[in-house]
Amino acid sequence: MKIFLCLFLFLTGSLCAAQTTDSSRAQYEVKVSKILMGTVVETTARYPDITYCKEALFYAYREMERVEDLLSYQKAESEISRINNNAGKTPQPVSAETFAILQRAVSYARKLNGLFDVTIGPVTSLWGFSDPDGGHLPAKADITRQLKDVNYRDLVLNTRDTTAFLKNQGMMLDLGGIAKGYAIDRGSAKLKEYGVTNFILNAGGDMYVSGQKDENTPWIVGVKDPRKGQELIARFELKDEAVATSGDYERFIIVDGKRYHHIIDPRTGYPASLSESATTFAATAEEADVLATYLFIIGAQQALNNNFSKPFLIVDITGKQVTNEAFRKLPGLQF
Amino acid sequence: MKRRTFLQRSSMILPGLSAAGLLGIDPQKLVAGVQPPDSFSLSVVTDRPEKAVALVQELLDKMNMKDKNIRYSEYILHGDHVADIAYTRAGRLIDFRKAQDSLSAGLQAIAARLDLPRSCENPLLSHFSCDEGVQKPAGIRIFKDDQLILEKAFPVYTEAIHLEGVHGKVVLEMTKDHAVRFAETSCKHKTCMNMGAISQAGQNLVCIPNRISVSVTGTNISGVDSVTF
Repeated sequence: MKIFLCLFLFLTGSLCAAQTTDSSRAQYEVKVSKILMGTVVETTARYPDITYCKEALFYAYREMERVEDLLSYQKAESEISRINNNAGKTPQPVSAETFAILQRAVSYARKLNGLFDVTIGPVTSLWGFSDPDGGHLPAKADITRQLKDVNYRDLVLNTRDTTAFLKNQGMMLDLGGIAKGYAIDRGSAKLKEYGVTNFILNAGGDMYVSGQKDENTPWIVGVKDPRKGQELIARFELKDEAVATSGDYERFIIVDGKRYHHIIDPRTGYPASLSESATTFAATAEEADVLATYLFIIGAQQALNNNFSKPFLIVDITGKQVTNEAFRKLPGLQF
Repeated sequence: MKRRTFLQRSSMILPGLSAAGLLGIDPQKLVAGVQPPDSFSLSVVTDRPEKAVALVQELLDKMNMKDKNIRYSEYILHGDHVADIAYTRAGRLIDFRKAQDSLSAGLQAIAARLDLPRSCENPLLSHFSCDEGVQKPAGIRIFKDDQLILEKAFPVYTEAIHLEGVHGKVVLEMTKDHAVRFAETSCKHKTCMNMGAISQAGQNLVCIPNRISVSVTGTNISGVDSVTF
């Protein structure tokens, strides 16, 4: 018994004034975290019934696992692997779901002038940031050679038979820039399907925020300082919206004093060099995920010049925080 | 993925039993008309987690808790443990078997229903907490493969904790000023080390290759519910 008491002496409670949608019952805040898609997926959900809430969470996580199995190029059995393995050979029939994601990926690529490109695989595989022991500086000649096989226009999507085909044998899909966001959206949809409508589903810093903490209290989201560990550079209220951040500090290597990170500019094959982090918002986590990467690559100045319509906070490579008017109008914003 | 697999691999568990009718004694009779404590935490270690969660929730629901937010989390414990209930009120450990307050009375009934205390293997820790005051970070919890492997208070002097991860040695450093960081790690990128130290309750550090994570326990005083990075 003594061991037990020592073990739990330091467990303490936590605070929140709360009002439930079911006003006759206490509101429970159920928190779950699990390593998935190569990152930590953490969900905080509020619901009056713990057992039911956990069941909803179980199915949400199972749904995200399903998406990972469907879209990961690192899983040999995934549809994406099948497309990659048949590059330059034969079109591959894929599920309607995969086909739709690829269609949206091409649409993003067109809209963002190729700065988001799911055919980046030949280059990202060279850098190896997604491999368990990966992350190394490739030879310049290898990058130049592989870059020739990066072109979303050579991903052929046939709507008549829902097949996907990479025109050249060296081509390779890497949905890393979109799959996590899509998985968050699918997990969120599953929670809503179960009637759990007040939650934050955060996968490695990208998240969908649904509903409120309680009737009178919004969820509060913070933006991490890209260079000062756990410090925050901004906080704001968020409801029924997704927010995503791309940063150069999550996966990187230092070679001869220079930082090489995992966000690759499809124009050069090298890590984008204008930003330390870029944060933006969208109706879905998928879109927020894509746009955060795009903003990171184009940098703060171009984002301002282009009058980027969604709120953004970009920390440029000098550490300067740049925001647009939409960001500065966020409810409850504090720096 | 089967539910049981999910259960063993994550820090949450899926109860399969109905909450209804598990408690033989009506908790309403024990607590009727009594205000619950403003600040409390309950930690239930048990190999019957479905029943334990249902019993505690039934008890809390019957108390006047509708204006309170109660946080719930659970963790798989590895090895042999003593299954029992720990009850703290305003930061103090309460012997619920002797205390006269309403929550203690309900916990006595639950302990009887769960046949506590007793030894058990690889149990689940179900943690309920409700706090009306801001507290300092209390200590850390260390997880490996989503299992809670160690819980420690912050030390008086800086202390190193040596762990074995999936890829080899991992060293955590806890400091006297209530911070913890990855001091050494066998993983390649050292991302966890680059994340620096954490010192606020609710913050986490993770070494994904080694599947080791550490979180600071206590009340989250950063004022945010989640962080984008």
